[in-house]
Amino acid sequence: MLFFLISCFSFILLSKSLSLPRANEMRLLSLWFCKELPCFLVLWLKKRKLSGSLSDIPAMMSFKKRPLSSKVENVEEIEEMSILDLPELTLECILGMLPPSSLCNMAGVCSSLRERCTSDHLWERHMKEKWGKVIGKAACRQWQWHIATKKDYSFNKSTHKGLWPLSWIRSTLDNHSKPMSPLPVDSIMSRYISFESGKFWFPAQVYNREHGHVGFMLSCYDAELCYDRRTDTFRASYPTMKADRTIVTEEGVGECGVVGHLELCDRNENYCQCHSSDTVVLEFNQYTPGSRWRQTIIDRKDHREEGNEADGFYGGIRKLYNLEELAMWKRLWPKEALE
Amino acid sequence: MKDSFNPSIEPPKKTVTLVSSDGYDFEVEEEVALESQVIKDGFEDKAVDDREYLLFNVHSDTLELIIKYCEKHVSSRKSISAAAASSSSSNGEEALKEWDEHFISVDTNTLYDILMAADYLNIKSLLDLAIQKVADTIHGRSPEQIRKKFNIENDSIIDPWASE
Repeated sequence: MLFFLISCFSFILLSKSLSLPRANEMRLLSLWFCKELPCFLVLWLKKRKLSGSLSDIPAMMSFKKRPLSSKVENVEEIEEMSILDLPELTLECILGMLPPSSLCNMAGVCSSLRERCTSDHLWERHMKEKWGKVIGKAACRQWQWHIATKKDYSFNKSTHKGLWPLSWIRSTLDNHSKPMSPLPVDSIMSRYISFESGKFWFPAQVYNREHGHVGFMLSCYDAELCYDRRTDTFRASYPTMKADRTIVTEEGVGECGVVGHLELCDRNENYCQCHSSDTVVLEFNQYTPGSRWRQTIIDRKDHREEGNEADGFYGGIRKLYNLEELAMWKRLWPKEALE
Repeated sequence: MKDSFNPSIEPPKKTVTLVSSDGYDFEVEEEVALESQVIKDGFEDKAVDDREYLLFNVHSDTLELIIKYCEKHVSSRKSISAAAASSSSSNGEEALKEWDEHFISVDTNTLYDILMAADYLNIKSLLDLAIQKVADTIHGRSPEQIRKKFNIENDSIIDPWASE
């Protein structure tokens, strides 16, 4: 039924654009359309070259007989298929295989590809793969704040340019072709590019392992970071130059044993109340017992960064959520206890 | 077991006929045609004496290529599993990969035709191969180069600053 309707439709188009064929030709044409319609209609609509090929139609009808000699003469002439004519799922698969730089270039090709290539579902994977382990809650909050302020601007040219990865598209710049419409600031692609281009500074913790400096063997800083794509490294800016001695705990594993017992506690696990006390003893197992860096006491409820240059600073406790993270910290751990 | 080495005793291979959109008949071995999931799905429903498939969307030029691909993959699979059974070392997989790479190194229009046909006939390995080829071709190209390569018209609003 649908087939028939499409056939009719194409005849309407035919009769509009061309002088109407004679009745007997019409009958032949309809026969031919039934067989050839699917591909022919698409091609015809695309190229609108029918006027040129109408005279060939009687010859093509003999296809019913499956000729071995005559081929479609004008196939090559008509065939100018574009990547956009591929089946939806196939095109999606292609775009799904592209790395970020190629997706950006594809987004600059035409409006249809731009819409596809900027969509969140394609960028989610790239965001997770490249930035998933670096971006924490604080960085997410910073980003939310960043896009909230961006949204307040009326879109002008400078913001468009800032959001588009022109640095990646060198050749585009050379060709003077520019993006057509602004990339939504809250899209994942926009977030990816902001991180990737190094324009966005975000908060993160940086650990530092200093050889030959006993007191600061392993230290951890709060810092603002930005990425340098050329060298694949980060630039860090520290609000205050302080080193916090690192204490790490891991839920359910407790191997580090770094949260210690209070002095009065008899360390019997059945009676120990240390976990409910407001005072928390932190024990740094990388130092020998008795070392001035071995132990410190902080208040669970009201703790701010404290300490001094000699004894080190205590910023807080970093909780490790999985074994992978724990293993990473253990690799950094000094092999022997320090004085 | 002995018989299988003697071709004269083997029963004649079953064949099916594939008819291209431009009316050409292609007689191929059944197992080759069954590489297409679409043909496989329809196979059981067909009468034994009517194993003919009209492929309205596949031109004879493309169908020839598709059949070549399927034949190669059927025969390679056989030789790979034969080599595995006799535990003799073989680089069949590697050779097939190389063959694939050569096979898919075609011009853009042919690549489109293969993509359309592989999608229509549901030949997954070929579809994956062609998709990967397109993705590889896109990689490292500028938007303008992509437009040229893949016959895409730039319909975007031209930036007034651009000199185009």
